[in-house]
Amino acid sequence: MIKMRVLVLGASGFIGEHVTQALRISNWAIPIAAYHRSPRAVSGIKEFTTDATNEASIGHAMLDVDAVVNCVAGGPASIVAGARTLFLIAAKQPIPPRIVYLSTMSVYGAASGEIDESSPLRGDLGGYSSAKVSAEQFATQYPRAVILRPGCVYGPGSSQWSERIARLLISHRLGNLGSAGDGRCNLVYIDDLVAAILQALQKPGVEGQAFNLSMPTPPTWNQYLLLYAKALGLDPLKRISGARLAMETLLLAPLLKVAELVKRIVAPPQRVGVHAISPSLLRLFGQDIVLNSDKAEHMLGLHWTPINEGLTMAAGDFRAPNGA
Amino acid sequence: MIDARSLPHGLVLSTDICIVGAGTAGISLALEFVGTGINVLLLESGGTKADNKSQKLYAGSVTTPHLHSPPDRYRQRRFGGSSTIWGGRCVPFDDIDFQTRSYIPNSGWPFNRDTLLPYYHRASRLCETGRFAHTSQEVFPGNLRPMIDGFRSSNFTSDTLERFSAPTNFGIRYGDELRAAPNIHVLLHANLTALHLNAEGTSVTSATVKTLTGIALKVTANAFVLATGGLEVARLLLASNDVQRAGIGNNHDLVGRYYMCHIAGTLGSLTLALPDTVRHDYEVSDDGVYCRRRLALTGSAQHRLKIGNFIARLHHPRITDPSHRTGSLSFLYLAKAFIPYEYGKRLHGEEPASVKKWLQHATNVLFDFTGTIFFLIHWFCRHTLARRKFPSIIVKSKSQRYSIDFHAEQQPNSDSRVTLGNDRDALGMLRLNVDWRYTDADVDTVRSAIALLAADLHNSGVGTLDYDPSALEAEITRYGAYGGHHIGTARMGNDPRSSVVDPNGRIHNVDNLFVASSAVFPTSSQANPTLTIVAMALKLADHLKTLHCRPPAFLTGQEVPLKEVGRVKKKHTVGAA
Repeated sequence: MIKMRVLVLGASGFIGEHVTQALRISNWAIPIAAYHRSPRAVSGIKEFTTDATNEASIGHAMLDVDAVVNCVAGGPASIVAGARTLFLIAAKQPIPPRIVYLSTMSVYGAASGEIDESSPLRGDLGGYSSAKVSAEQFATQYPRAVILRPGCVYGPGSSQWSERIARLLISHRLGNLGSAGDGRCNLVYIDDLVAAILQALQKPGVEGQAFNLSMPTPPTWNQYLLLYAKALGLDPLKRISGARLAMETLLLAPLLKVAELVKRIVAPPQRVGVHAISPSLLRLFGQDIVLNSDKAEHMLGLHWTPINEGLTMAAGDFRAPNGA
Repeated sequence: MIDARSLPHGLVLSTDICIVGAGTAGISLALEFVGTGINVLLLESGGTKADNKSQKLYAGSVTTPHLHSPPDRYRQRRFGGSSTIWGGRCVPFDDIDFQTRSYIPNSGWPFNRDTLLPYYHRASRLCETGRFAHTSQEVFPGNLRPMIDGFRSSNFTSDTLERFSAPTNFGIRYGDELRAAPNIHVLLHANLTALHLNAEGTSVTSATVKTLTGIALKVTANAFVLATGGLEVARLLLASNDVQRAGIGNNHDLVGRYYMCHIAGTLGSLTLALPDTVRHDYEVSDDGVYCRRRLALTGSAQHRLKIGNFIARLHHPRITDPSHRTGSLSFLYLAKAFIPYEYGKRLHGEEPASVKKWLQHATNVLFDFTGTIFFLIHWFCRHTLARRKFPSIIVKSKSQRYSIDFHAEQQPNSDSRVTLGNDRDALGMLRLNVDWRYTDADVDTVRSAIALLAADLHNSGVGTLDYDPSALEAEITRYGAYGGHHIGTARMGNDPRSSVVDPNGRIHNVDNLFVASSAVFPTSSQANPTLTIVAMALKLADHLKTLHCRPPAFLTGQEVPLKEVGRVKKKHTVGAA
């Protein structure tokens, strides 16, 4: 059997790492890991150091691949430049590869209610949101692209939606948020996202399609915070007042941002462990948006990890951060 | 939100459902329609803040003033209703409360507790009392020591829990959600003064709404819901008498009758045989909710004794009597002028204040200075500053003495009633007169239950409950009817001859007028009413949604098609209503 050669861009990230591993242990694919920084030297995996915005670099990595998974993170400018480069180079290949492009639910912007893939891409939640909309425009012009729009990807090792939230719960900076936490928490367990990516690489008839990815009937953020606090053994959950949240977002968040920048200059390679409750995070907690993922369920044949199972795994990982 | 005072006089507003009153019931009901295609107009008399002029519309008279607080106390005429001042105690009704009990005339609900169960779960979320779990076995499995070490009783259980809301101000908590919903329109400063029936008296055709600035509006809707409290429901039904002279739903002279509160008070002195055998404090559930155990009289004991429902809590000694020597309690006595009426009523007592008494309390504070300071710091941090508030004052007795704080069912009694008085309010509506009465049966519930409790405590060897049975009735009536629980004035049942609303809360023989209020409770239980009010409002919401899906007679043949009715819009102007 000829195995599919899959280039994973952003393979050092949380999602990229999981995808690379899943491909490595599959019997149908060979991953080729592309890192922004130095390679990890994982046994049995071909590796590159690439600059996602550099045409020559991407072109070199894309030689002889059958498919690409793009998990590259970055600022708004590099998201747009990276997508432009990716699809431009891919189109020039003798056999253009299928590209699974990881977008985000943020493309729907401040929309509320139940949202399916045909909903307009408002991209009105700041730079990241609008950059992802622009990136999707490049993807839609490329006939072999599959776009995935996950909600909040959580699980062991998720710095954004598991580790950060756990730290904020432990320090009692998050708890029951009252009306500020009434928004819906569109969670995707990391394994479910990886399963979706693997299906998007293989399934026929999915090119040119976009898929929402979120567990069905997502909990409210208040419910999620309670369940996660229980999984972390942190109950009883504290009630956080609106005044306290205002102080967090208006006073503490800017100070932490400055501290983060200073720390980056002082210790560049270190992961920065400062967690702020930014105004955009608070807005997300209150956003009443439900991603309808029926299409992914049907066309990609997905099954969702039950939330309690996922949170137990996420909490376990956080308690033993070196074990993952 | 729209300020009715800014609308032109004579405007006609048209909607699918008009809800009158934005308290716990009205807001819970309106929230159920967010995101549906059903348009809701939520009328609120007050604004978003307390306003004296609006509040005065609640003023009325009391036939026996020492037995009942003035009608403008314990209820708030503003967005959020009385949830703006409530204490947050949430307790579901028991199975027995729904049963027809031969020894309690006019008892029995038209459905059982299982019918309300799914709504209790949803109501708990709205009241922010965490999950609907009201036994310590469910909430604290194996984690709690007994409430009283060694207490054994087949008549009382200490397993049931009361759970406490934040307490949630429904106006603040859910106001933004209602504001953001395009199909929900909240009209502030809008006082419903009359409902108008068609000539046959079978359907509400319109409602008159007035502001204190002299603007009159007319509202037409497919369905009207009175979501005012138990007193105001009766007032509005009785005052809407242009077609049915006795008032709407009052063909059988039932509206305003069977008025119940709770029989509550504090009595006796429980002396424990051994130190440190009592745990009557608040516990915190895993979802962060304050919970408290109590001694609840079992259903079988109630059946055997043929008495009403009853619970008791271990309580601190009476605050006004300085012989308790507890600094924190004396501090409360000295600070009573700064404590709101609804919570300070029991601090004032019936004995005249004297310099001697004041000095005795001051001495208590001085001699228990550390305890007083500790109490104040705890209260400031856990109640004043906290968003989820420590619910009430708990004093661990150094002398091993406690009083018994009881809360008992009042039985339905047609002579206990509210009627329209002779005075009129600023909008020209007749004010309410409250003639609350209790009966020997109500006293007997407390008398029998306390005697049984005293016997069980004694027989268990845990302590002695001393009280004066001959003074029991005086203790029960010391502070009059328990404030704020206004029940039964538009009772629910299957038979129009003995009830005002049907099991769905619809006024018998009026096809589009509903009531969401403790007014419809046929009996009062031992439980505080709010959780059940919210549960019943959610039940009504489900019913109204069903009607909207399959329009019955009253939803058809309207002048304006259903799909166009909803939006609040100017149809045409009329003269002064």
